[in-house]
Amino acid sequence: MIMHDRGTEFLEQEVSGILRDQLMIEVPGPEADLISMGTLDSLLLVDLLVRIEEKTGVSIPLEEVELSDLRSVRSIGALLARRIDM
Amino acid sequence: MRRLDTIVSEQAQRRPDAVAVVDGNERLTYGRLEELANRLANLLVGEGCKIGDRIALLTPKTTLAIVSMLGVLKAGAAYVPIDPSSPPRRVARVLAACRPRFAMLADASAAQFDEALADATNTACRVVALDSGGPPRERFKPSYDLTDVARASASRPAVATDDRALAHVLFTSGSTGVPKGVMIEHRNVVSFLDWAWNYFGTAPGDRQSSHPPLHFDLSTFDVFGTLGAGGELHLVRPQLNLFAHKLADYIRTNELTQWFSVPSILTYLAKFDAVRQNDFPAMERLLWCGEVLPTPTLIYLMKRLPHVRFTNLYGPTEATIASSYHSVSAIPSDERAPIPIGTPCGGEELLVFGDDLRPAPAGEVADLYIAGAGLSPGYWQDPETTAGAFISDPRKPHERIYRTGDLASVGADGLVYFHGRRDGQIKSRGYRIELGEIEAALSTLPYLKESVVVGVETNGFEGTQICCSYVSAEPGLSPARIRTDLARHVPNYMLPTQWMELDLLPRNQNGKSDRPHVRELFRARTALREVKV
Repeated sequence: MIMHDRGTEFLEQEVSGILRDQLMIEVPGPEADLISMGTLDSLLLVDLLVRIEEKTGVSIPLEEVELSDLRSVRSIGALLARRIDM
Repeated sequence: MRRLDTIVSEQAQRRPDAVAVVDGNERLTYGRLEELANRLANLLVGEGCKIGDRIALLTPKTTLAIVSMLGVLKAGAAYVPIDPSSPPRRVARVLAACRPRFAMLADASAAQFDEALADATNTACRVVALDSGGPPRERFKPSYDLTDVARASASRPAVATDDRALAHVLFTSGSTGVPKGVMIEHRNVVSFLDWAWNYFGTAPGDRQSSHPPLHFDLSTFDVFGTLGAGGELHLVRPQLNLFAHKLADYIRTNELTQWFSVPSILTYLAKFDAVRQNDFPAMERLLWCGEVLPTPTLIYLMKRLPHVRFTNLYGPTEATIASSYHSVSAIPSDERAPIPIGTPCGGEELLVFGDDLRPAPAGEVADLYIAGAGLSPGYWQDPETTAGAFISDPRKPHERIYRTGDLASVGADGLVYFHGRRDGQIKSRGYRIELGEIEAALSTLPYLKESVVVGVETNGFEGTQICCSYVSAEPGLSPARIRTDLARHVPNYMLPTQWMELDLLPRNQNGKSDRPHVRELFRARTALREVKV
């Protein structure tokens, strides 16, 4: 289950901010399915992870990511929150 | 006389219990594949399918998609695979152009199809639902489902057709904004397969990857190259492309004997160092096609997989799958050494001709033409474009050669080398993209005064980046908004990744947009960014 509090909400905003302002991708909402919409491909994923690290200092090794982590802005925010806790 | 459906039937008669298609945990035997495809073909023929009809395939790559392809061919019709990631407006154009009599529809593509019908009002095709059926849709109701298929006869349908029949129409990017449909006949594909089976030594029991999506010409090689030789076809789910390590795991666990994909996937594996020393012990051959494989990626793979044969395939859709090949025998010593596109496959000819349509001197870069058994009869209902691209062979005027638009040279080693494009076509992650199609879509956006789209080469695994510079008619316009609107016209892989707003587009002496100048602007900006980091 994804815990949703003010901390993760901030992380979600960071993720949609990077998508919008750096990758020029507008996501309809935090729950929008990035995979089935075909938004996320390998090129973009790598770019996104690099930019998240630049902006937040949190590194996410691709080997440790699951498809479910990348479903939406919300799940990416939750992934970030878990990495910060670690 | 062999057709794509009869070569698979032969395998089904020989080894009905052998596994034909593997999709995750699902396994389909040759016997069951043949039976289901026969039933589908009988249903279609009974419901009015005629020889030469087109049937749209709107489905991800699943076992039922493979059954559908075979069933359509057995009915004497041609399938038209629709890109599941294509926006509905573009799908509508394809449907309006090919006027399918039936559509084979998976739940996953139902919303896309429903929205496309809003724009393709002249499309009156009947729908065969491949899944249990999702929520009801506004603009169509399936006429048939799998219970109707199961009720149809399992005997092989008697359809009087031959290997000159149309097998599929593959729609690719068109420079004027309208996708072009490349027509492919059974004999085009069978000719390539005969060469490939002989050259690669394909045998029953081979476990081969099916990686490219079905609307990609390359998938024809996976599907019929495997099923016509009695091998196992392993359908690779597109989500795996996001995870280099999972993709490597997949190859390992399924003990694939052949891997075939576009180069960007291989470079992704190399970038994340997902391949171990002496990995994939079952693998015999690794093939790529669709664009240039960076030599550092090849060196990375050849060092780790010394037991594997590495083969570069080259060829446009118009000449069917591939027209030339080159197996690399030794690890290249220089990272900058180009990999040749090599020598023609059996039944094909590669011709490097000057403007006078005579062979160019050795070493000189000139236009590449292709002749031979793979040549498509042309573009669907477009005699003008067909006549421009398929011209009379200057050596044998009753035969044709295809102008690829690629530039090539013949090296001192007698091998053919690729030197890029003559026109506005680029390759990005294996996709063939006409920059003109993107510009045509941008020109429909009212808030843009003008725009120009260029491809900029990068050194990394990104390959060619699509870059758009534009002049806005609205203050404060964000590229994100342009991208969102553009995505309603073109598939995701055609969306620019770099944007630049300008007050005026640079022009050359003829008053046309100065593309080299725009490319330089993007290169300069990238270089500046790299300095900052």
